[in-house]
Amino acid sequence: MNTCLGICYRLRHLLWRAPYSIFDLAMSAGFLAMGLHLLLFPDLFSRFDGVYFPMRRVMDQVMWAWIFIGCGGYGLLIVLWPRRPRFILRLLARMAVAFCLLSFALNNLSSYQPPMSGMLYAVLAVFSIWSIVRIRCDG
Amino acid sequence: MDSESYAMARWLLEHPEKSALGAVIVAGVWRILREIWKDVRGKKDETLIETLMRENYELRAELRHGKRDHDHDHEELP
Repeated sequence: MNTCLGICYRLRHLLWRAPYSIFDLAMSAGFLAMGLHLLLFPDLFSRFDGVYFPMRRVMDQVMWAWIFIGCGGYGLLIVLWPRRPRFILRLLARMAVAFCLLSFALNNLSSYQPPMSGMLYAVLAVFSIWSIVRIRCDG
Repeated sequence: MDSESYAMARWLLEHPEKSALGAVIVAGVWRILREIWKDVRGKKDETLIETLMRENYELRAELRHGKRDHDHDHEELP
């Protein structure tokens, strides 16, 4: 019960005060949703083969979905945890989300002509790498 | 762009998962090394502002502690 209240309080703090953690929250929630989306529409990669070919070549769609769900879920858990988690756990959460973003951005940019969302993902990926570099032990 | 750089950029784009993993690991390891380096250096390179802020926090904590003790003493009086 206390943990639930703590999570609600933390969510309110993130939405109200909007510190840098809002980026972590948005990206983690986004990848969790994208993972679920990939599971809901299992033929997405084959239908848009031109865009998702580099990702499909590495793993099939379901595996990517579970990776996104795992990384997004872990990031969400860390950012919403009422007490500040250990530095290494926070760093790992940001690394996981940055890995997803960067994979997605590079995948989109590798197709010719890159889709418009590729630019957005590229910018977000740069920011996610920056968030790893700037994470503070006491922050 | 010369051919080697072009080939490298092309490889990075063709293998998004490897490039992403590499970049993320490099950034993470760099951050961990920075934290270790900061711990090793300790407070040696503390700036004046940081010193003043730290002392301010310590004094405020001391004052708060003293006030709590004072209130506690008064509660025990008949």
